[in-house]
Amino acid sequence: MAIDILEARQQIESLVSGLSSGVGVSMGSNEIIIYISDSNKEQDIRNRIGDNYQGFGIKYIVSGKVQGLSFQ
Amino acid sequence: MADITELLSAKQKITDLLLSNTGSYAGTGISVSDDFVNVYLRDNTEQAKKKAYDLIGSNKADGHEIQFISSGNIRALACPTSYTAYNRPICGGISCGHQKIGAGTLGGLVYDATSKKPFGLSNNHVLAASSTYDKPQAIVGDPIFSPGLLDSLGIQYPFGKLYKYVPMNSTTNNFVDCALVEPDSAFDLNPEIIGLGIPQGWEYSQEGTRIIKSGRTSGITEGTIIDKFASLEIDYGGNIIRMTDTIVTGKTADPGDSGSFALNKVNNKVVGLLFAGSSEITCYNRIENVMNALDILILPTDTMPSVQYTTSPIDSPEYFVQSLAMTAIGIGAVVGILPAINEQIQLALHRKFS
Repeated sequence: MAIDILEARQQIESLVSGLSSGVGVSMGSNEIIIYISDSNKEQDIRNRIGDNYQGFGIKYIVSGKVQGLSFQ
Repeated sequence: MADITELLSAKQKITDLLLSNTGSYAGTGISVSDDFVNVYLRDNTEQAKKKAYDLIGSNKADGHEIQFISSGNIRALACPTSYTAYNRPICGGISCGHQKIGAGTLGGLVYDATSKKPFGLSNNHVLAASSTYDKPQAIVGDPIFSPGLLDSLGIQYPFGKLYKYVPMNSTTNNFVDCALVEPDSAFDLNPEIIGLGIPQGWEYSQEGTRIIKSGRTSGITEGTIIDKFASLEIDYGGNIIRMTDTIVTGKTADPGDSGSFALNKVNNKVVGLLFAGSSEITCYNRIENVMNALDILILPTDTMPSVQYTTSPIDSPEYFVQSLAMTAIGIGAVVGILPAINEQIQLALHRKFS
């Protein structure tokens, strides 16, 4: 049964938990975005997920560490 | 429709009479469709209206009805150009923060959905020092400073108090990083954002929308929304918080920009609240989530409640009493330094009243 992109995103989220810094969606291009904090982990995640999941494209963004943007 | 030339002439006559004679009147104008000459009142009292009739010598201005409009004191609302200097009133985009942090950005002016009272909106991690449910770092009523202490070199310039914040949760998904500051005087908040003007309300964000923000560190920058469904792990000084429903753009911000509003560049409507970023991306809370969490509204100019002041802070009784107290303290200090003079004064007073 086909699933929608937000459902697929949820599944990817649990698959890359602990490896990526987050997961999102590009509705316009029908892709699931995987944010990667550490470029060393990129290949590991790519090997696990590939370029396609349940018919949706996968886009990888090496975001670096995402942090609150105030001066502490 | 009234004759505009006649109305302007009537207005001109009463302008000189009213504005040069008393402090009760802030200005004059006309309403052509109603055939009114308008008088803007600093003090919305019957006495001020009666005095206006007396000064004009009639309850009409050259036969035109006079409409009184309560305006309060009208002050210039020019936005400063510096993001980090001391400025009052405060605009969106300016440096601010809780005493436990260095500096963040005040997003802008919002209103309580019920009372319509004005508040300043920024992040929890700017105004409440990253308070979580299990580790509150701030309490409601704490002073909020502008500029932030990093920019004032530690000198404290309070402009309001922490009014409300949404604690973050270290163990589950969060939707917002937001908090409100209640200004000591509503007069201290300017609806403008530095360099961007006044936001025209809010709207739901859309992927592909070009957004613009004005923040304490990087000033005015633009980006395009690439994602509005991101769930991301955010590092708050070593404490990792999971934030969902996040809007993501390319890099549009630097440390110190947290709290900035994201506006749709085309229509100046607020779509997000900047709270995090990295070397590659910038993250914003969806503004509808922020408004729901704090029970606030972001209003377009034409529906903003007017802020009315019968006295400016410098004219207020509190200021007068405060000045008197400071003078007394000053005299007391002199008296303390010069006990001999004090003794003579006391002696003279004793003689006078005994």
